[in-house]
Amino acid sequence: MIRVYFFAKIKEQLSLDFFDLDIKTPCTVFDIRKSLISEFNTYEKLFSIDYAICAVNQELSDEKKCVESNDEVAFFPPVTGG
Amino acid sequence: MSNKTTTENIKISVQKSDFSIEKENLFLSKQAPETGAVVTFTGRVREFSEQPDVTGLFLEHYPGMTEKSLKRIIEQAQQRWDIQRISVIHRIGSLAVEDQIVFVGVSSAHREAAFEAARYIMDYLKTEAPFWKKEITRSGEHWVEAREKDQAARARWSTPD
Repeated sequence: MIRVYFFAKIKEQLSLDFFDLDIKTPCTVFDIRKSLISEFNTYEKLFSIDYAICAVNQELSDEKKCVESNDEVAFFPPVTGG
Repeated sequence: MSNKTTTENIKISVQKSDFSIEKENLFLSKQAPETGAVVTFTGRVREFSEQPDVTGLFLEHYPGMTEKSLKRIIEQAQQRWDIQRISVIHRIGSLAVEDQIVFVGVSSAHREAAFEAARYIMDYLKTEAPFWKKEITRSGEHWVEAREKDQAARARWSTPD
């Protein structure tokens, strides 16, 4: 299991701060993304690779990044601060 | 609520409360006879953004990652230019039109490093630090979309100048 945190538009649309994803670890960010899309299939666009950015342990991570069960994982929209 | 990192020469703060440009100027130049240049940038909430009738903003962030991200951006700037002091402040929560949102201040011996580093920090902050803006308008609210021009501004720094 991996706890996935959400922010901004993703958090708001799902009405969830986080979700405990039932997935075998270790896995990759790509596996988590696929699993989130099947879990929230009406929100496929929100988790698409062109939109949602993934951070593992608070570092921006690409699709190949390996994730362990105790890692902190977050998916969020492109940033718009400043 | 505020999350601050202050060392002798670096100040990072993600906070709900307003900030004083005067105070930051003092931090950047107090007892610094070696400082020849102080450059500061202040970002404000604008009335006309994606839609013309913005009345305010809501700023969300990723606690922990945001501060780490700002720290890394500052470290990269320090490697690139000879900088003396840096202050970066970003506000979160509800803000109204004309409120200050963000502050970046850099001091150095000469103006070139201070100007460039301040711009570099701002360009990276806009494209890497996990903050999200929601615009509040008279007709409703919407999350602001990321802009191509901000990515282009950051990309400038990755090509040798």
